[in-house]
Amino acid sequence: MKHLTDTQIALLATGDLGFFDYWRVRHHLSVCGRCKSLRTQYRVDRDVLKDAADQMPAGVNWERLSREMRGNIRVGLEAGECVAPVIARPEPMGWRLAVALSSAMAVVLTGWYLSAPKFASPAFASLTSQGTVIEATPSGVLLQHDGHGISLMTPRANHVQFSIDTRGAKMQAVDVETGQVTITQVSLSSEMD
Amino acid sequence: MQVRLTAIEAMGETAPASELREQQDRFVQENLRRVFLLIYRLVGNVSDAQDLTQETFIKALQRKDQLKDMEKSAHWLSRIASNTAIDFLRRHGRVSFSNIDDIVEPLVDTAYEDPEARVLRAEKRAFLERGLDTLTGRERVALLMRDVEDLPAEEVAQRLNCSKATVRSHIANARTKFRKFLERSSR
Repeated sequence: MKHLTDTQIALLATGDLGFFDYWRVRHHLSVCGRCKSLRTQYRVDRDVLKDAADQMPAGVNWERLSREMRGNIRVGLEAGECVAPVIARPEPMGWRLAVALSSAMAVVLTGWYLSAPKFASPAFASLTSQGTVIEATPSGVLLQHDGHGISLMTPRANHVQFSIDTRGAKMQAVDVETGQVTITQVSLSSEMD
Repeated sequence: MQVRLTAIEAMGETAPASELREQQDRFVQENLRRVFLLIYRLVGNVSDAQDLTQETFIKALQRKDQLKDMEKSAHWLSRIASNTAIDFLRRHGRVSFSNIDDIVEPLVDTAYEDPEARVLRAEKRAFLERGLDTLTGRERVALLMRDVEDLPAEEVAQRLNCSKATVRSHIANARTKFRKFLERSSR
């Protein structure tokens, strides 16, 4: 007959053997007097250990020792009460939270930018003289009088320069593809007065 | 003990300082021996056990607002005590077994003891220490927590911060070694 190992019996003594391990050895234990006796012995050892462990160390004057400890505990508690409570600092933001917030912010800003109404480019400058309006814009020069007007457009223009004064408006634009320079000049003649 | 602790909890900050201090003193008095022995068994040294016992009670009384269930107050205090002792053992990387004769006054005083009881107690204690000396530090802690403190293996594993299988191995090894020590001693 193959007996149980010391480890198995040592664990069996207090029910610490796993469920399946116990299931495997229970039949042997019921028929083997040696293993059963050893299990009982381990239980007795446990009682011996408990009894010995409950003894105060030899040579210790417990009355004196406990009095000293009680005094030290009281002093320790009073010292603790004198110390101001530590104010908990907020925990630093975790990197995951920072990434999530940044992403959310990017989505919101992109959405706002895409959905925002687009305004026409404002005029660079305008001049009004006796009901006649001259406006210089990035796309050209606009002349208006009594509800009628003409515009001189400069599509695909780049490097636009303009000047406007009481005599009229002058605009110089460079075509982005060809590099051709277009100069547009609109003068306020005396006939308009 | 649980009634006393309940009183401390109930009084809280509104109790007069002198009354609160009296309640704390009673709580310490009623649990001091048990906690001291628990820690002494783990660290095996009276001087260290004294320091750690004091630390345990100061921690416990400063955190008493954490205790919600009065039924578990003894367990709660034991847990603080064993964690304090285990932290100490970890910090020092050892289990100290200093000779009781090395401990200086005022801890040692045999003048008031009954000589017969003293001898019996010394024999039992020395016998236990010799048996525990055959174990490794972790085996000793696991065995004492399981067999003396009656903690389930799962909780021992939790306190030692290792797996249940490891703790069961420590417990089995410790019991086997202790059994061999007892066999040798009885010859």
